[in-house]
Amino acid sequence: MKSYVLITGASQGFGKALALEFASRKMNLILLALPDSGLPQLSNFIKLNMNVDVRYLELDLSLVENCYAVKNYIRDNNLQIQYLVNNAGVLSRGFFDALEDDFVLKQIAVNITAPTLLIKLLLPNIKTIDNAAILNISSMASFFALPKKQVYGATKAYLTSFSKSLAKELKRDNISVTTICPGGLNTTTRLCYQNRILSWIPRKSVLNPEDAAKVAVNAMLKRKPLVVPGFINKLLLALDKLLPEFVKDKLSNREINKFPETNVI
Amino acid sequence: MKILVTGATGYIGYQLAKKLAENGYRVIALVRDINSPKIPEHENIMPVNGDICDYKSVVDAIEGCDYVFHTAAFTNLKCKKIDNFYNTNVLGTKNILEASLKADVKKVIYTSTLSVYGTSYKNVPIQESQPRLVSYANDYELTKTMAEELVETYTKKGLSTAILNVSRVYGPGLDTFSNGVNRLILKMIKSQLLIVPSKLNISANYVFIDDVVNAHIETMRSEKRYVKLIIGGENASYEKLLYIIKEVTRSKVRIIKVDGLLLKGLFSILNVLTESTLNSKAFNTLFDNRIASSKKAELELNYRYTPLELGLLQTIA
Repeated sequence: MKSYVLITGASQGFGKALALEFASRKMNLILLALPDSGLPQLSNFIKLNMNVDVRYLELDLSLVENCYAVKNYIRDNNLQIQYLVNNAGVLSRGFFDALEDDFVLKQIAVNITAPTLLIKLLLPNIKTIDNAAILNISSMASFFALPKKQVYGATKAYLTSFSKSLAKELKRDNISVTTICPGGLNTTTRLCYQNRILSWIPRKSVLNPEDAAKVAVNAMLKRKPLVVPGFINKLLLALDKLLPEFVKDKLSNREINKFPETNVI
Repeated sequence: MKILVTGATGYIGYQLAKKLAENGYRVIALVRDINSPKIPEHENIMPVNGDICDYKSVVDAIEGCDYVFHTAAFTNLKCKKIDNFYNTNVLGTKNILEASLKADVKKVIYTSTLSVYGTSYKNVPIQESQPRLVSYANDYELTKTMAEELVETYTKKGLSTAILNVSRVYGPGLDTFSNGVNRLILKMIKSQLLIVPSKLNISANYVFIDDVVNAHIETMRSEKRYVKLIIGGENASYEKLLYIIKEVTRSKVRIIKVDGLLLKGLFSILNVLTESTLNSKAFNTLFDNRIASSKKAELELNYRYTPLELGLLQTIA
């Protein structure tokens, strides 16, 4: 029986890079993403040219019923999941008091509720195969205190913490749980532009998604619990424990203030 | 009928403005320097002083225009700062789109580049449906993609638009940065010796300037409210390109192959010592396969391209 990798948020950015990385390793894909985000084109391209089976579902994971729809789709089509990759996430958008209520709730739904529920719903399926693994895409923001990334950072701290505990529980089923915490990634054009105007060290810490995807998949296959991709990111993480709070504040504010207003582009 | 052309002092814009004028259209050429020797001369072409980065001047130039061809772009890959790319390619395009929407322009035709699709996958020619597989190789690719996103945003706002993804253009015309094939031809005619990377099997798509100009005009005439089309020509490896150029120019140049990595090293040393034409970033993009297919344009625009050999013959004529 064929087994599949299920990847959420697969149409763009890091999710797309992960899909291509798994496909290049000859793994079959079930890709999930929002409607109108280019998912059919990506799926067709991979299926046509990379010699793997690709299925896709266009749905909004901020709605709980869609998580159940995923479970039903897998059951109805009698599919076997070997790897579950929780990548879909809503990025930060500005200062807390300026955010719409709905935006914050959606961010929590996509970043916390969806991965939690998907793991819960798909676990019975995953348990039936050997060497299964869960890969959760968290962020360096789960370690740092950052203005304009309040809710985002907190949702990622949840995912990192949840994954670590879950890893301990699932050991008895021989399912590994890997968390990857990337720093800046050149994903959307907007983020690429922001990353380009950062000062030297943070700019050098930014990774291309295809490089981070290799690191993530390797870590998952080696059943590592937590991985921070990139040398400078590892360094920043170590520095964070050493530097006094006021220095960190100064550094992070300097970079945050460079970003253009959201409505420009 | 009145038509605005931006970038009329650039390679494509110059030929386009000229062809439009010859076809009887009244062309407004938005130029930064009204005394530039690169402005095409024709009784139907009226140069107007302005800058796409200056919204007011764009609004004034667009007034009364039926169509807008936006070919202006910052293309100099030697430039290390993203600001020049961003201001011209992103903010400049936004000014054009905003002013066009307000002025009820019938269609904006945006000249983009095949390089927004990145590299081709193995031997699969790039088509419009191909997702981008790798990160943006340089600021030009990134800002042209951002501009395309803006075009799509304005299409949703009700503006009729077209995006033309043009591959590597060659042919008679102005000598500009974006015209590598023409420089290669000159080099092969003038020099005795040509040093090339040994990876001559790298293939790309080459399109003749007249085909690009015709595709622009056909796009304007098309009834479609939005199209995005690859405008390309023949796919050829460097080996084939050099061979054809050598044949048509009857050049006696000796071609010496040097290992790509070694050549890259030489280039970076040259870059430090002199003002060379390429930096390593621009150099890298020359080592990727970028083959493409214009099938969609053939179907939707009845587009036809000139064979490479024929186009090169016309270039040296």
